[in-house]
Amino acid sequence: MSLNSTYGTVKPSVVNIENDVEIWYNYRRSRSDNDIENATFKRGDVSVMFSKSVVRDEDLSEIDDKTLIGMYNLTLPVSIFGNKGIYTIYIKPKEYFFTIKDVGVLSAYPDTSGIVIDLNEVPNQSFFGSGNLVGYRIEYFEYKDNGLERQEYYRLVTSNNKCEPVSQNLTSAMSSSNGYRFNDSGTLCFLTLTPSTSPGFKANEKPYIGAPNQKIGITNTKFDPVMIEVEVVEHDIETLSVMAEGEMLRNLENGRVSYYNFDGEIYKQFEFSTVKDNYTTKSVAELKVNKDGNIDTSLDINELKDA
Amino acid sequence: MKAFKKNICIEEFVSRIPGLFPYLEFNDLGELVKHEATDSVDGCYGKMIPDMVIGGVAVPYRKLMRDYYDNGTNSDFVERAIGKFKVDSFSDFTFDDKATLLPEYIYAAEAKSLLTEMIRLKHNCELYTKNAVFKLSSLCCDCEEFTKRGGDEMIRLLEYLADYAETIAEEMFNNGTSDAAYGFFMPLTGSYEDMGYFTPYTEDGTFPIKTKEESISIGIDNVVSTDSKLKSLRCYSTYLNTREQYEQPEMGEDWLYFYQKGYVANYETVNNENGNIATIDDAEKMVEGGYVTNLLAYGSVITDIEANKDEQTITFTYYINAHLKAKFVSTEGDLDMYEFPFEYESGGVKQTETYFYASGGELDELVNSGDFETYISMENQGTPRKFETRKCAFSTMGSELSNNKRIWDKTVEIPYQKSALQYERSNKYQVYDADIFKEDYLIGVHFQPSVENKVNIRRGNNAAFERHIRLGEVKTLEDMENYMNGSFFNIQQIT
Repeated sequence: MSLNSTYGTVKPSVVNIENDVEIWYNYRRSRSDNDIENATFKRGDVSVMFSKSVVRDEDLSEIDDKTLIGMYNLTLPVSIFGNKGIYTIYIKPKEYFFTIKDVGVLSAYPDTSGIVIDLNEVPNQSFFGSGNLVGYRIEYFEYKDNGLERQEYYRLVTSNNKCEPVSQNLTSAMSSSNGYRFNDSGTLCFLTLTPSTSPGFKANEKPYIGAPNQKIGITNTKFDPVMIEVEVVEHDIETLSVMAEGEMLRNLENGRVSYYNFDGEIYKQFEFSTVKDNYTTKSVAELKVNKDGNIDTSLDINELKDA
Repeated sequence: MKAFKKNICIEEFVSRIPGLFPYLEFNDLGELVKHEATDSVDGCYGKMIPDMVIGGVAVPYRKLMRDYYDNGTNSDFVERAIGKFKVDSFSDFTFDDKATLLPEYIYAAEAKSLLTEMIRLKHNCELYTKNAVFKLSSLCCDCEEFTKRGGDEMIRLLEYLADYAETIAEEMFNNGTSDAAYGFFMPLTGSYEDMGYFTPYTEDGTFPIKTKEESISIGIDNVVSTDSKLKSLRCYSTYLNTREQYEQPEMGEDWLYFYQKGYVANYETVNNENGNIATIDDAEKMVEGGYVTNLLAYGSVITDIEANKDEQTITFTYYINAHLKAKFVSTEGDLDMYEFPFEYESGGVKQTETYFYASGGELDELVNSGDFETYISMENQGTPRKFETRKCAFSTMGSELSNNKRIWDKTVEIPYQKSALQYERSNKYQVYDADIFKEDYLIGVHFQPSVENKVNIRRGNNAAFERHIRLGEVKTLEDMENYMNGSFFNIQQIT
């Protein structure tokens, strides 16, 4: 049996970088810096660090969109990533936090329950445009001993629509309930979630989709989180090979030895000297001192090679 | 989740030339600060260089240098920044034969430190020549070195180069950005598998049950809004002027004439077998002249109309689908008699709207005359206002908004009046902490759960009456969609 393709839905992601992506990073000088302070992540500026990759016009002339699907540029500014050490970068779908205003049902479809968000408490209302959040994931927070804690369960949004409350009391006695109806003029938003039907045989049993005043996080599911560990080092194989097989100049007047990189620049300069005893003039030690910060450039290797 | 590991070398950004490029250095607070090359003894040697702006484009340092070495690209700029001069190339500075230790080249960035050293040598030399005390000291060597390294002429040259270095370093500082960056490519993909399934059963195999008792208030603390329902609470549908002609409000205005305080619209009641309005329970004993609050009677009611003389505004407060109460009058036979109209009891969606009216208009005069309360009262409830010709217009323009609605393939702008609302409710239901995933093809589709209890049994293809029997099973359009769509009936969109 052979498989020509894998059955599945792995696809290159198309994301709106500002709205969909968030980047976190951590810096530690060495693996042993694992105390709490050094294990804390900071938020990175997505607009600086992340951008879309594009292709050449001539390679893709049929369409105007020249972005290469699924491929993005990650830029690490040295203002953050300029130190030697280990950086851990975590790229994940952006999460927005809201408070559930109500958990209710549609008045016309009492079996369909959903959570209600008050758009007045939302900075970006277009985020909640009807149908925009389908497929987004909702995670829940609950107050525990240490304050708000994220819960282990999640739900998926299956529809979202602007709505207004409706009061229809004909069958429900004194409890003024009965929920919501869709209305694009409303400033509330009704979100139905994956488990919206009764899991049992009793009509009024509902799967848990949240509680009023509960804090939730809404995340897009457009891509899988990615972790990158970047180790910033002083030496890579090229700098080591410069020392091993790069050109060298020994200045016999001042005992300086310069090693040149492959661009012909002085990569390192050392001063070799001999320490002698004052009285016996006997050699005691030989020194090799790194002269970074005070290099001697009086001799030029290219001039000497030409001479 | 995908994880990548990368090693990157800081050497990419480090200059190996004692040139005049600006450089970056972390200060004590961990902030990256840009410096002029002349802040350091060796210029930019051994330091991180920011991207340089050439012709409006930021070019990374290593790229700039490699392009220069390979093709001579931007040679004017780079050579000025390197600042490397051959000593005998200066016609203004001539050295005699004694200057045997002259360097071949001098980097302008190093001129300042060389100058300091030369001045020190000169100072020692002067001490040696002018003071007999020092005649025997080793300062004679410094004096000789000073002469061999070019003497006063070299000091002049180094002063010139130090000034030059300051100028170019400042220019390069202004041409440098404040940062540089490593670049990577990063693939992003989404997959169904990574999301995963989970089924949180409890240890004993049952679903955890949570019971929720809720009392919800919406719009109390902050204003929640929707479109206005005020027009559905009009007492009258028409207005007759003095010449018995029909008139209606123009676009952007409405008339107070249509509205009365306490008016109930859209009555809905549940009635028992005698035709009386049913009650929620029989516990309440009806007293003549007293309110009956447990009637199964609902409707929309205008509870208040207020005018603000100073701001020239009129505010309507009304409830949609509120629970109503009524004054009990008497029982005649099997019939219960209530006073009409019913009044607001509880519940419903409370909406408030404020509109402006023009000064000098009918409504303004009405408010100022003190006749306002009489005008909006319920005296003529149910019949057209007799002898009343004042329309009392107010503007609805200010609160008018528009919604973009997709109707077929066109976007249609639908204007609406904005209305603030408040809403309270209490509810109690049981929830199961269980997961049922919606089928993929229903994602984005909002639907009422239905139980598929009708089973279509296929009786074989050769049954003579197959089609007729199937047709007999289909009673509604939903049946057609559910059981026969595509196989038996072809539902086509008529455009």
